[in-house]
Order: sequence, then structure tokens, then C-alpha cells
Amino acid sequence: MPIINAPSDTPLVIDTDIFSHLRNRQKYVEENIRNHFSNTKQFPAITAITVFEAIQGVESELNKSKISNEQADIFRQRINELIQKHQVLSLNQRASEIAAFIFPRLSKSNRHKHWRDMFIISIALAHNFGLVTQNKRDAELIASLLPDDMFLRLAVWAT
Amino acid sequence: MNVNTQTQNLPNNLPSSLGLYDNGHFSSKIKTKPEPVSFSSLQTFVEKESFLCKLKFTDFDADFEFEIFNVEGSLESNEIVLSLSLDKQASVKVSLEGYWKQLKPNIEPNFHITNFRMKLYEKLETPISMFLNSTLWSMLGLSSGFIIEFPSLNNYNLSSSFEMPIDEVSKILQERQIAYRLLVIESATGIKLPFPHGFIDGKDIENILFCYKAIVERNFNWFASSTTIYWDANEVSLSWFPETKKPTSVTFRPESITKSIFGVDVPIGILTVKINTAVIDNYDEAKEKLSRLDNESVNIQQRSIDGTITMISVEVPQLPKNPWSEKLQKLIDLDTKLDEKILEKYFNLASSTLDGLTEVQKEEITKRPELDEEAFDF
Repeated sequence: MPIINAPSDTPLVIDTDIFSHLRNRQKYVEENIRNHFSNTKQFPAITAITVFEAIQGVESELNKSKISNEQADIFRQRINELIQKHQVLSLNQRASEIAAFIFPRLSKSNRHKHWRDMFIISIALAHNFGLVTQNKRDAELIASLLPDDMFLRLAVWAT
Repeated sequence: MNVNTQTQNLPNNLPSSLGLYDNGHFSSKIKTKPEPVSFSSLQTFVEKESFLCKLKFTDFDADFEFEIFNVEGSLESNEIVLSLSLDKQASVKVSLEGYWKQLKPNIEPNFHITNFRMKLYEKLETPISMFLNSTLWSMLGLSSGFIIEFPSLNNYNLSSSFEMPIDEVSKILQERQIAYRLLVIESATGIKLPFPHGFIDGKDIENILFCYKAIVERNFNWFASSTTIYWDANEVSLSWFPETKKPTSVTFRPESITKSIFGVDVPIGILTVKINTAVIDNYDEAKEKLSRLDNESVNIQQRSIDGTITMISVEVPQLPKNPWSEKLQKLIDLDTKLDEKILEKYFNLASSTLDGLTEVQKEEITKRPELDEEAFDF
């Protein structure tokens, strides 16, 4: 399995679930971020995919008229302020190449389930970051399809 | 022989140009103003040969003591500029802005402060200078307030606070961590190291981390998908060579390792590489060449199946007991408190993105987007 445990000094990128749990002040995320920060003095990075998912959450609620325009403005402003404090890793050429390698090797149902995580993992690898996830099995599934010379540095943060 | 352990592949993501405090003035909010000071008091103050300014951080229970080496100010100016030196490792300019006011004729005018600014004037390219500077500025950025005091100017003092974005403070803390690690390496090896201003290469960060771990942790994991070693073909090398080409736990013989840090070679000592599941990709070729016993250098391409190796310090210098002055130790010990302060702000900011929502609304707004199954039907 082309996965290794991310050494403690590895710069890490968190997936969207962990980012949501951070926003929800889940203690296990805060505890792990404390350890990570103690070693690296960095907040974990996020990917452009997580930025998309976080902002579309607000836009989706607005589109369904579940929040007002005024509320949407406030939430947009707050989420942007939070995003600005992070290093945002882009879907660059290298990440796109890695994703292009993985995607056709996923089954159709797995493409449907894991397209977002596939991009997040590709971005983490392209930028030499370790990935933080709660869901080891999904990460293993995607990493098992990586080219032979590629290792995913993985940190599993669980409740 | 050379063990190549340069494979951590850390991203070059440390922006060492911490521009905010390098180039800019910090304007602070004055919380409590001092009593106005008279011109003659200021003159007496300036004429003294040696005088101090104290910066007190109540949040951190820590003080910085500066020597004031220059004061510029006159009745014609609305600004008093003090040049301060921190243990001769950094210079800071403090600017007290305000106005002179004469309440009655024949009574000398007093200076009324309205604004207070600080600017880093000069820092040396040494680990100790960078450590002191980054500690000071991270404390300024994270404290809820501080007191600046001039004991020999009738105890003139004011309390103030700075606003600094947490991502900037995080960069300053990264710089502080590197400076501390360099101090440890300097103290253990006796080699003086620079800490140049400007962009720091990822390789330097990696080498600093390697040396620091070798000194402090002694045994540590290191990321290495492949490692190349060069052995001379002789009987000793052959005896260390694995008997089988199957993946196995391999401990290689101790090697002397030198790392380059900002262009300075640091012979960190003798370490052993242990690979729990090792394969040698050119096993047959390497064994054949080593068996020639002709003292020629043989390239051995080894790989860790799980991507990690363990480095074991065999003869690596240690940090002496009590290596730091009491004053420096106190600043080093602030590490946990600085982390706590910045993370408290970070966690509060993160949770503010869902403030005012019910649990159901929070779930909805953080729900991941779905695409129709047909979207992947190709």
C-alpha cells in the first residue's frame, strides 16, 4: 500500500470533513491541530476543493432560500476570513496529472463516491503535503491506484 | 562514504520574508495614557548616560528590557523617537506621537501622547537575534496588551496593544522555531551558524530539522522512499551487506553525516540507518561489486517499502546541561503559551463561520456537494 504514516513534522492538508469538524469545534480536531502546530508552527493547509465545498455550502443554502441574502453575506465574509488564514493548495498541473491517472482506474460507483477526495489527495501529493482524514479506508482505496513510485503521507485523526 | 538522507521533501513553504514586521510600522491602540511629561524632564532623561525602557507582557508574565541609545525630539516636533537596543541583537524604534501644550504662561509645555508606533530597525543575521526578535514580535501580536515603561523618566508608562493577523504571527513563530533549532545545533556542535534574511530554502529547513532531531531526539523517523549509499568494496562492507534480497529489516553500519545549513557544513556526527522493510534494488550488482574487495566505491540503491527509515544517533553531540541563560530560558519556555494564544484565536475564527446556526443548519451548510451518478457515466 503506497501509504506511510505522516511523520510529525510533515506539513499537513486537512480534507473537507476535518475542515467542517474544525468549524464545528470538535475537540478531536482541536487536539490534533494543537499537536501539529506544536511541531510545525503552521495551521494545516486546505485545498482549493475544500474552498469550493465550503463556499458552495453557503450558496446552496441561499439558493434553497434557507438563509437570507444578508445572512449569506455574513457567512461568505466569515468563511473567506477563515480561508485567508490558510495556505490554499491549488489544483495545479501536477495535481491534475495525478488525478487523471487515478480517475479512470476507479469504478463508476467509486468515481461517484470519491471524486472530491480523489482531487484532494492528488493536490496533497502534488504539493508534497501529508493528508489528514478521518476516513482511512477511502484514502487507502484512492492511494492504492497511485503510480508505483508515489507515497501518500497520511495522518488519520479520529474522534 | 555518504548516506543520502535528503529525501524528506518538505515543501518550500516557509516565507521567511516576514514583511509585516520587517518593513512596516506597527501602530498600536493606546489603552491608558501616561501623565503628560514636561520638556525639562525629557531633557534630563536624554542627558542621562544609560537608561532603560521596559516592555511588560502581563499575559505572558514576561518582560523585555531595552537600552535606549538615542532620543530625538524637540519642542518644534510632534514626535519623540526613541532608538532601543535589545541585548545588542536588535534595534527597535519607538515613536511617541502627540503635541506640546502650555497650560499657563511661565509654565513649561508638556507633551501629550496621542499615538504610539514601533518599528523593527535592525536585526542581525544570527539565530539569537532572530530568536529574540521573533519572540518579541509574536508576543506583541498575541498579547491582549502590554505596558511600556521608562523608569528613569518619572516612571512614564503607557499600556497598549497591537493587532496582528494570526497567519502573520504563525510565520513569525515558524521563524522563531527555526532560530531555536539553530541555537540548539550551535550549542551542541560549537559551530556558529548564520540565519540569513530573505527566502529560506526547503533544503536548509530540512537539514536543520535533521540535525536538531539527531541532537535532541537521538532516534527518529525520517521519510525516505529511496536512499543511496556508497560503500568501499572491502570485507567490512561485505559483512554488513544483507544476506538476502528479500524485504527485510536492515541496519546499516554507522556513517559520519554532514549537513549543509545556509552554506555552512555541519558534521553532525555518526548515525546508523535502520530500515524495517528494506529492499536493495541493485542487490545482485552491488553484491558482486562489493565481493571484488578492490576498495572501489559501490553504489547501493536501497528502498524502504513503507517509505520511512529510522535514524539512530551513535556519536552525535548532545546539548549541554543548562545551555541557556535564565533570561533566554524564560523566553524559550514561552513556546506552549504562544501556541495556546494563537490557536485560541484560530479556533474562535473557525467556529465563527457557523455562529448563530442551529445544529441542523450547521449540518446543511457543511454538507458536501453531490453530483448525479450520470455525471461519471463515461
